[in-house]
Amino acid sequence: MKTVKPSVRRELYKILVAEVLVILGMILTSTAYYVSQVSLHLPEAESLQISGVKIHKRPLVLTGVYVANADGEAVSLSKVYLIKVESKKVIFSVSFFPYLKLPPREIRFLSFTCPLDPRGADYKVIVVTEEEKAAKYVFGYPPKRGGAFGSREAEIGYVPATTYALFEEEGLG
Amino acid sequence: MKLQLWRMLLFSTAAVLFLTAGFTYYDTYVVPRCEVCGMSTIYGWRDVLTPDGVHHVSCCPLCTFLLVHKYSSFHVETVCDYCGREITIDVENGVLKKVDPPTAYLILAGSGQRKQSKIACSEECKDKLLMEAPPGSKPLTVKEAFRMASEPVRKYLLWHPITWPLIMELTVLGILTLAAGFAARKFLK
Repeated sequence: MKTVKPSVRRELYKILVAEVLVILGMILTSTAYYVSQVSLHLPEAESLQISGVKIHKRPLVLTGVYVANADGEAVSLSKVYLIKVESKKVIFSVSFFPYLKLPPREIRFLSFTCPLDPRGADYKVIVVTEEEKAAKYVFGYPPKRGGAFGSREAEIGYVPATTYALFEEEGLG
Repeated sequence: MKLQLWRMLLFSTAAVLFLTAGFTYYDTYVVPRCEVCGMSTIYGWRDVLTPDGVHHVSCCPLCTFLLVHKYSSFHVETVCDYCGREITIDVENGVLKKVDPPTAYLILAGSGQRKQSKIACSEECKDKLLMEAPPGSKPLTVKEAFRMASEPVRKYLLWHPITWPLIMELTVLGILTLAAGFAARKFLK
């Protein structure tokens, strides 16, 4: 049996350590992703409501959401998540630091940019407060202008009416 | 054993080159980036339309005005960063022509971070945005901000995207390294 030189063995050790680090990194990333998915099951913020979304047509990007505070107390907003309904994956998240203050009985626009699927999809927006409570909103859009918007409406069923108004305004409907 | 090490080194180099090329492509052409500073437009979308009908994008109001160094005429469509009201700005031949609403303000972030620079449609929105802006932030009228931005800047301050040939070169280099890895057995024996 061949003996391995100490210098070669040292090199092999280095490669092995590098490999182990890569695998460890992958495990940590997957765990962080899993934890972030799990932590999205947040209690509902009753006073907070997402009243609409703003979409830019060309290129198709979500440029922000309108959030309303119905309560008598100010709310601090910390994060926004965007989940693709079909795949149930968080495709985008943005943190606001310092937290964005939403005074009582006011509507505020949260500005951020996320490219959307041009083939048409359904998305869920989650706005998280400082107290780890969330407001949720689902919207979808058809693949083509003048396409099966009506049938898609029947198909998904849960899209709030305000979304349509905004889409019509943007000329997407 | 030495041969194995060489091959491993070549394969790893090829992998690094492919990953770099892929990431560079994604980072430059897939992620929407500001045409002025090259930052991701994640914190705000300012749509800039030039007379040739091409849409451009910038990350903050100041970068939007800095675009005057690239295009002399353009139409800006953005929203108030507090209430979401539409704000439009027209620039013709390097001169600010129209601001709607005329009460619009630009808040220059005291931190120097572009993402914290905001635009407000009115005095009220300006005051609310200033309350959460970093210390040292300064409100400017659109006219003042445009005058400041249109002063000559050195060309290298503008972001230049990584060009296609460079990405292709990285890919070709990766292919060559991979081929060398496969051919190493023959040459190093």
